[in-house]
Amino acid sequence: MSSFLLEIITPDRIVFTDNVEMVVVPSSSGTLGILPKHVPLFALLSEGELKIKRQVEDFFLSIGGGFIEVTKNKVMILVTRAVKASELNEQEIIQARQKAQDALSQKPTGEALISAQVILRQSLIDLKVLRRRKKIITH
Amino acid sequence: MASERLIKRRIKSAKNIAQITKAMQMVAASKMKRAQIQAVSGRPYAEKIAEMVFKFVARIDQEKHPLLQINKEGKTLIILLSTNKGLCGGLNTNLLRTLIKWLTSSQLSESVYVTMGKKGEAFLVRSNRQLIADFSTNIPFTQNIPALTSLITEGYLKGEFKDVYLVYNNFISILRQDPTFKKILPISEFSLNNKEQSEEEKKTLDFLVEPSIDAILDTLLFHYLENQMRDAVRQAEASEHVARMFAMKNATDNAHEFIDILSLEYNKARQEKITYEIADIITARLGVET
Repeated sequence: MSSFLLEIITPDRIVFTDNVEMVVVPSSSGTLGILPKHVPLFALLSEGELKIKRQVEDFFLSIGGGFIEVTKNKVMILVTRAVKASELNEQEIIQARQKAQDALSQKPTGEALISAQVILRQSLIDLKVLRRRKKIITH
Repeated sequence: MASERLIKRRIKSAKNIAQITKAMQMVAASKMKRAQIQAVSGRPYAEKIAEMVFKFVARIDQEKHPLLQINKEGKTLIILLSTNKGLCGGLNTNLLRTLIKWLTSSQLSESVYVTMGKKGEAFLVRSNRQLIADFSTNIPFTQNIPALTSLITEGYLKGEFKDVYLVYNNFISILRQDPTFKKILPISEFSLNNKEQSEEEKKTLDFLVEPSIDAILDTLLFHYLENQMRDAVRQAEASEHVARMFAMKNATDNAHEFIDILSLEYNKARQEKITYEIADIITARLGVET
């Protein structure tokens, strides 16, 4: 099967560069599946789960907001954050979620509110990604 | 001989200095490692996002977004990233000297400044330049970026600024940090240059945009500005720590060298004193015998 080059880069590191068969991304207006020879595209990405399909295996990443650019021979994804499912730790995420929920229950304002909301959203997505990985393993 | 005690005192103070500079060197080295990793690992993202912006802007109508317009009138805004503390060798001096040289050679009509880092601020105040904001007290500097971004964009949209430059020490390697001038606004200007090079990309004008060009530009341009500044701050920080580490290493080495020289002198003085004493005893004995 044909494939294309996918690059995922965050401000901290280059998360992924390899040839893949398909990538499914959460765009701001719904999930987008990208196969080889996709038309050139530029889209906003929202937080969510990103799925990569490769010959050997499928895997998932939890990503923050960002951009995707599809050109003739390459797909570039720039996001604020991208963590592979295998790098996620369930205990830590649940803790983070708990903390964010506690913080929110005290009705913070301004920056504290935003950061708590961001953490909460992130941990929910992380958990979703993690559960999906578990499902694949148990199958 | 009085100088013996004097030399001893000087040796002691040189030793103290060496101890302090050694400690500072260690601190700078450990900070440097972190800052260096951050600076280097953030670079691909900064480069790619710049590339993405230029490519995107080159393909669309320039009038689509207010941030893409070119202000004919207005001042030049220079964002100067220096350090808060000294003791980092010629890092700041070098940066400021390059800035002055650049200002005289490029003949800007009128320029205003925003600083991060007290050294740069002090210099601008001393040389009577127009300083509109100083963000030195907020540490780490990355905290200032949202405020700075809104300052720049608001000023630019109002037409107060004609162009915006970032001036900082770019971290190239441990042995090299170069003063750098990076133009971050107007964006359209460099994409025009890009257009000529990428004839092939021009042909693929039809590409999908989701959700809309406006929505993407809004997010992308702000994100781009913010990221370029963040990258600059990280580069400047890494440069600072590297420069400080080397400055402190040199200081320690010099202090040790100084201690060696002084010890030699001290021993000479001591030997001289003993020789004199022996000579004294011998002359006294000779005087008694005869």
